[in-house]
Amino acid sequence: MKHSIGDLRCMKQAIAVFAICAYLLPYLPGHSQTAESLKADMDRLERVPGYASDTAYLNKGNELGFILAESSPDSAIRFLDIQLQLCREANYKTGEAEALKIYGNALQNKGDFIGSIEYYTSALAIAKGLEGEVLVPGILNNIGLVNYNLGNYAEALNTFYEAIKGADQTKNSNVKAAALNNIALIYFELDKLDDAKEKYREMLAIYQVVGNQGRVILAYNNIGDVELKQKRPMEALKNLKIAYQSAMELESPEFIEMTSRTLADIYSELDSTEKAEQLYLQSISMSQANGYGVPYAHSLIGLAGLYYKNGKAEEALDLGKQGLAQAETMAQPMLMRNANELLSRIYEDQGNFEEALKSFQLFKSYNDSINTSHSQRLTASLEAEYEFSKRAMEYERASLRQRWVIFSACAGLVAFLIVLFVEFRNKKNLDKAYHALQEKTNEIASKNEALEKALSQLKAAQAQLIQAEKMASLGELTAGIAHEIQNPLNFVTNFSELSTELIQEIQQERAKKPEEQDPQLLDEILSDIQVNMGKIAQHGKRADSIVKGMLEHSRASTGEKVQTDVKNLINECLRLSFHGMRARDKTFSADFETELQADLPQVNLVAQDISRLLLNLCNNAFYACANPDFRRENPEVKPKVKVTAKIEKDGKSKEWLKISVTDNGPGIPQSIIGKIFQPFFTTKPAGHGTGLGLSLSYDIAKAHGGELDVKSVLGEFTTFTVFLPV
Amino acid sequence: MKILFVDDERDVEDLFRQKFRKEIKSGHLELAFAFSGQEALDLLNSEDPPKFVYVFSDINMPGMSGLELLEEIKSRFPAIQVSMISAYGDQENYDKAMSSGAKGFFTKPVDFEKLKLEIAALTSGK
Ligand SMILES: [Mg+2]
Repeated sequence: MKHSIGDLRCMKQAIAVFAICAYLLPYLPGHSQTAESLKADMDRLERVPGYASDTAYLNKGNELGFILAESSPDSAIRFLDIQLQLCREANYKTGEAEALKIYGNALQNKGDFIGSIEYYTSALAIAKGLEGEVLVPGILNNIGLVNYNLGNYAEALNTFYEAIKGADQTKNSNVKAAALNNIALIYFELDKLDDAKEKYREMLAIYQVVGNQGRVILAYNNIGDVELKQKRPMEALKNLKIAYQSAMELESPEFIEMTSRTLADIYSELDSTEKAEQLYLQSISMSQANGYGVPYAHSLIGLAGLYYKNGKAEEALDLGKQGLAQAETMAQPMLMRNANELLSRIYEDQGNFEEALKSFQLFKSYNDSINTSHSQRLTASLEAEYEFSKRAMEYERASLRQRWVIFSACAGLVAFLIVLFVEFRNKKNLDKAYHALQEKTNEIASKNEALEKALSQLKAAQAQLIQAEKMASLGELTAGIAHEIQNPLNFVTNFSELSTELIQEIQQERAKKPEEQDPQLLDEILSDIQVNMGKIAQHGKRADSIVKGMLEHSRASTGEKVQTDVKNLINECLRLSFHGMRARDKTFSADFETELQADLPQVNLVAQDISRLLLNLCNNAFYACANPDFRRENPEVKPKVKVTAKIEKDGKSKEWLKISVTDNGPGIPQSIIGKIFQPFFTTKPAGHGTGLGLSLSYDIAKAHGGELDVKSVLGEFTTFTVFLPV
Repeated sequence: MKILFVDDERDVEDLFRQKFRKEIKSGHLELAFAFSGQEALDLLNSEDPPKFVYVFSDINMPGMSGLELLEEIKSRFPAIQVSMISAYGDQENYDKAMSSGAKGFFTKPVDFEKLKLEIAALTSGK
């Protein structure tokens, strides 16, 4: 029993929805005239010549068309065909758009949803071209309604939202309220009852402000309907009493019928049978008299259910059949389903199992189709809701931004005026400020000068620093240089002394008697002297080149590139470095070797710069693998520095001179390898390095259009490689 | 009597061969030359026992230094006399050489008279 009543309640909402669409929503705001009085007004206007192009006349025609569309859609369509024609001939765009919209209403009321969409779309196109777009929100709301009726909830929600947005902009609270109602309808169908109620309350608030009594009644009716579905019949009753009272005061048959129907549902739920019966009967008679097809079917079935509940099976069967027939006429699947369910129970109780089965099968098929479309709608509407809330948020943000822009523009203007005023009043102050500004400018100019001076001083300091680094590295090399000069000088000394001795020997030999002389010995000595003279010259030159190299090193670079024998350069630097280390550290001991490409060509480079670079790399390498601490901690490692040089081609067939200096020292930790080319970075103890060596070496490589790379494996090796373009 | 000279400067050979021309000619001296510490050790190891009685070695050489060579020779062939010839006549090198068992310490440029006396002393001592 309870079960079937619950179903009947579901059915009721479907009727309520239809009633709202068909009878109530498209009402124009401020509409108060009846069809008769409108006709009279039009007849009066028709007596004036040229009335057909009078906009007042055309407006009256639209008002009449609107009423006809609700009461008699077919005659409305005939009337509107002419009305449209007149509006077009008068080139009255607003009238044409309005007429098209009303045409759409008539078609919608006939159930021709596709046709109504076409007319609404045409109306919308014209309305969007009119200034202010005042007609747009109402048309959108009607389009939303069609989509709702077609079950396109996603589209419907979006359109209602657009309508609300437009209504806010055109300050059309009636359309806003209507769209709110329609959104609430969708929530109701989706069982989001709290949301639905909230939208209805928003709608109610608007209508109370506007003072639209009919719509206030509708709002109370619908809120009550929601509460009934929420199983709060007492709350529903309270709202419906207000609605019914209002409807009676208004003497409006539509609202009296609607509220009595909802009240009947409530009383039925409360088991107040007599009151429910009386109200259903009232709804039935009013619907019949006024041709409200769907409400008629609803109340017939509702009363049938009430009778069945109270054991009046015969009456219930009779009313149920009538209700079903009416529901079929109106093509209302929900009502047809509920009627068939009720009938199948009645037949079953009567033992008419054949009819019971037929009714039950129909009930099943309607139920399935309703549930299927319901779940489809649910899915679509979930997406729609997401989209809807997203757009609602955007809209809120946009309107907030707009308000902010207006506010800040006003604030800006006010501020500007204040500034103007103050500026005007304080012209003297302005002059003062101007002078102050000038003083500031001068101050800045002199500061600039000071900064430039500081900068040039800094540059000079930097140049000095570079020179200092050169001298420091020269200092490091002094011992090596001394040794390198000492050795050839020793040979010069030894060979020349030796030669002097040899000459003395020759003289002694010559002093002998001719027959005692040994000519072979004389020849031997003479050839030795010749060799010695060669050696003296050779070692003299060796010392000379070292001194020249040293001088070059200490001189500022001319930056001039000359063809240079790379092999010599490398050997010289390596030896200088080695002997320098050896000279400063008595315990120093290291090996070195070179692996130089045999046919290494002469390369155009700034020899003194590259030699400084190589000296730096060699010094670092020897220091790394042969400094006393490292050797003490790693006695098994035999310190060794290897220098390799060769010509390599890159991917673009460009030739590069590649010189690598490798040591088998501790390696460079990854944590500092990125810093080693930075100026003043050094790992040597204080006083042992300027920290500029590698930084300057890097600069030298770059200045040659080359590169300086480092590769290192901890505990194994470090290799510095310089690439120079050939 | 066989004497070995060790120095990384190759011209040392010419120098000494001329200086000791008479001694070589007379057969009093037989000279050999090595240009690194390793080469010297290889040469000494090639004869068992080595016929060299005296090694004169430079200190400052790439690879094995003269002082390292001194230690090697003293541990392997204690009978062979070793003297150092170095451009660096400083106390530190001198002390190191002496404590490692060097017989003498000569500075460059070599004073040949002193060297000849040293060799002569060795010959007469024998
Ligand atoms: Mg040397």
